Amino acid sequence: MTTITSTRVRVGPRRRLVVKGRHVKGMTVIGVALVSCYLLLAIFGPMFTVDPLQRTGDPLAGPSAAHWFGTDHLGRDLFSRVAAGARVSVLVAVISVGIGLVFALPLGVCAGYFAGRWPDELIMRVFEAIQTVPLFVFAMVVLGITGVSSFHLGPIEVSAAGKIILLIAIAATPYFARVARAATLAEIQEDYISALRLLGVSRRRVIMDELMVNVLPPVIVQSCLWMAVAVFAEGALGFLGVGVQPPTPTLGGVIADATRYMMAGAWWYCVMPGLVLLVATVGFGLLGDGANDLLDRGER
Amino acid sequence: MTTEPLLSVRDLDVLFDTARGRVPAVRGVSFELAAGEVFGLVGESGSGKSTVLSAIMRLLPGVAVANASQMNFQGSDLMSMSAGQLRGIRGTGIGLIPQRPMTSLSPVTPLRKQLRWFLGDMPQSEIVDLLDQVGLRAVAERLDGYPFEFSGGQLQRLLIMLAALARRPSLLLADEPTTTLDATVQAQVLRLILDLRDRLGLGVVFVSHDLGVIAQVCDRVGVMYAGRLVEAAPIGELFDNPRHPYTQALLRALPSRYKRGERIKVIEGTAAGANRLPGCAFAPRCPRAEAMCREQEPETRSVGGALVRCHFPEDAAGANKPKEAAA
Amino acid sequence: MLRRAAAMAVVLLIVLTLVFFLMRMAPGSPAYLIVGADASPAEIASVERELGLDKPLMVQYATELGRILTGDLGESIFTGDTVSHELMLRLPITLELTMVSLLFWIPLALIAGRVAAARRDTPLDATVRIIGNLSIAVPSFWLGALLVLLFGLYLPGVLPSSGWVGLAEDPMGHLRSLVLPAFVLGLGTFGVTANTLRVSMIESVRTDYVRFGHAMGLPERRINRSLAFRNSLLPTTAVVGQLVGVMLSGSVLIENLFNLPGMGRLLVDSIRRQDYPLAVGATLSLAVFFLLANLIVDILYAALNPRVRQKFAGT
Repeated sequence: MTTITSTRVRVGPRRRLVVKGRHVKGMTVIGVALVSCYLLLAIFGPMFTVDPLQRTGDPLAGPSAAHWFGTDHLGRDLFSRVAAGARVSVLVAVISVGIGLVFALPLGVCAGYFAGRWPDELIMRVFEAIQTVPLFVFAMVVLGITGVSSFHLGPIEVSAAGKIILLIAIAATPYFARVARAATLAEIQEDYISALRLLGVSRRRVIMDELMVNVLPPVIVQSCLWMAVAVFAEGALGFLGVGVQPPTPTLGGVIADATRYMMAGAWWYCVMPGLVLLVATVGFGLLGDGANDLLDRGER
Repeated sequence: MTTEPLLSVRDLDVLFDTARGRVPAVRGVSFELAAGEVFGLVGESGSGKSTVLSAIMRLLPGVAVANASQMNFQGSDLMSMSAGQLRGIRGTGIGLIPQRPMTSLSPVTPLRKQLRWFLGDMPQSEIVDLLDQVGLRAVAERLDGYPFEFSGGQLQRLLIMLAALARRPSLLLADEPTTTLDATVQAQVLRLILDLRDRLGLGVVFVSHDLGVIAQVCDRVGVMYAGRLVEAAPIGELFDNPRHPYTQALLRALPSRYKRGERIKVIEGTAAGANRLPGCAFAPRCPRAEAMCREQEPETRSVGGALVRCHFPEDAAGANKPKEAAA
Repeated sequence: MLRRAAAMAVVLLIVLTLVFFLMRMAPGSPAYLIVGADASPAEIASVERELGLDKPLMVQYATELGRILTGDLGESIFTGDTVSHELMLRLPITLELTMVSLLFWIPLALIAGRVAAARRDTPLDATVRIIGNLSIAVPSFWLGALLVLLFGLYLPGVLPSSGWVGLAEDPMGHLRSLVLPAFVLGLGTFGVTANTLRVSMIESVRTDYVRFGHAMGLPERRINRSLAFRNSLLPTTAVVGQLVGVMLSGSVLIENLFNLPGMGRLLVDSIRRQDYPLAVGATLSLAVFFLLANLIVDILYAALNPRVRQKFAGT
């Protein structure tokens, strides 16, 4: 008996985002734990704490059972202020990274698909220009000048937080797009894409169905890192006094207040909000590394 | 009286540790090589032929595990050598010609400096003499240039000079040395390797996916499929009397065998998944496969002047129909 | 080179334009700052006329652009001094701070990354990675604040935690006043640089030239130094180039925290006081600084990469 197998078009292999039966490194577990702590604090913290704007204790009192993180110079509970600040920080980070992704993914995949031709040239030149501007400085100037007030983009009113979100999203977009473009370029060369094209599947379908799924892993890694950057940027802008404005507490704003009372020995005032920032940036960093390792090995 | 072979490899296995467990890349490969002999290893990409060379050099990546019941070079066991001993043998005892000459030298350092790394403080006159011997007289004045300023053919000659000539190794491993070169340059490089073999009495293991190239340089050939050596025979014997169905299919696919206008026969199917099943790895694509082929892996057996790993090897082309052999 | 210069000019123009229009969109007239908030409308109008603020926006933009192109950045509303003079006072401080920080951290990062790559997967490697990742993650302004607390309150007199001492008046004190800010400013640079070098060196194991080096029996030290390290310097340099820009942004935070009278401090102060000419000048010069830093790193990259070097020489 003879067996002659016809050459079938093999589609895939698709990289799985969830990789089964693979040991996850300890560092990644720590990353997940830290990010969870931060998210839990931001989501549930403000629900169970006292009003962060009201005086509930003595000014500059150290950590105690009543005030876990101590109190600030006005006797407000630091834990509730930090929790409220964490919520602002999460919102800014998630929304800005989300907006960045929404813009960057289609553009990056498009640039990669048309690599070397005019859509690619156009998209990448614009992003290059954005990347040559010192964006943190620019953000500071923009926020400093336009100030606390909201401004109008046509019919849409953009609040101070909205401005921060937009600026971070603009900064992140070129990086996301670059990663998406590179991943698309690599994917395009894979045989199954050309096989699909040979089968007569339309361009648009190839991009939508196959590419998006395969480009996502490296973009997820990049998103984790940009979550950390966004958390830092929101904190830094708040620290300089051009972030989300009082009375809303922000992590950076609390640290800025704290620097004025440090010489009074109120170490907790400065340490606690920064620790929350640190938990978030280290956590997202480790998560990004972990995702990288996991997806990298999944490729082989 | 038999003389000790220059290189003898017995039952070489190489496994790769991957996310999906241990994947075999080379399975039970055995061969011997005498001084002055050119042994070819031919197979499709992924058949494990280059991995065999890396295993001999002990240059496998960290995820690979190699096992062999014997791997002797000039009577000493390569498998049990320390890192220091291996470094002593690499370059001086065994030379390796790489596959991609354009990227096998550091791109950021002038050639002269790199030559000094490999050759030590050799006087300029000796370097010129060595270059002259590989037909690179003209390059001697351009040694302050960087690798990208030279052609692939020039670089490959230079690498051959370094690997095979300058330090007088007795074994040369050539890893598809001509695949990235133009056809005319390819012929020159092949001639250079054969010339060095003749002058220095080198033993050469020559890996290629191109049977045409193999036919030009080799004395004996081993055909690899899915990590196994499926047939090994003297060159004339292999081309005239292929015994393994895979070898036969490979030869049928040689363009030179065809007249103009005739369709070239290709081997149906792919090697993908060949190692997932028990039995002979070629069985899924083999026109002669029987039930037995899918259940039991064939042992290597000697047929005529060849070693064949097949349940139903043909004695002579077309003489033995598989059904009859089974009966 | 020409193309780069043109690209730089375009970027500067965009920055300038954006800043100009944002300022004009901002609420309140700069005239209030000069005559005071309780001035009469007539007074305001006369100052606005004096400053040219009553002309159409596009005319104002053209005038301002023309002025800046001729090198005249105007005068500070707050001090009355010319903006260029103010900038010349501040620029060297930021420059020195950045340079000192780079000179301290980059060599350390190169050593750490190289050692970690050579001793891959040992406790030493793990230590370098953990310290590197922490140094990237720590928010610089927070760490700086903690150091101010530590040296200001708990270890007084060991290192100055605030302020600037001129080189001429007290060279030793000058250096001491730089220690903490330079340490904090470049900390993240250390982690990123060491990581990049480490990863690049480890990946170089897969390159053809390292493989050939091994096949020729080159000593491990030679392969590490001349092949892996030398080639890994290329991606590392490119990354350091991006980091210099990050450090400039960082200097805004660090100078304010440690009370150093550099460009970053000037920028924040001028924005707070709505001293627009000064703010525009500071933004522009930071942007120029940023672009020049990138250019210098590109040249350094070319010097390390013979292929690019020849292209530079060719054009």
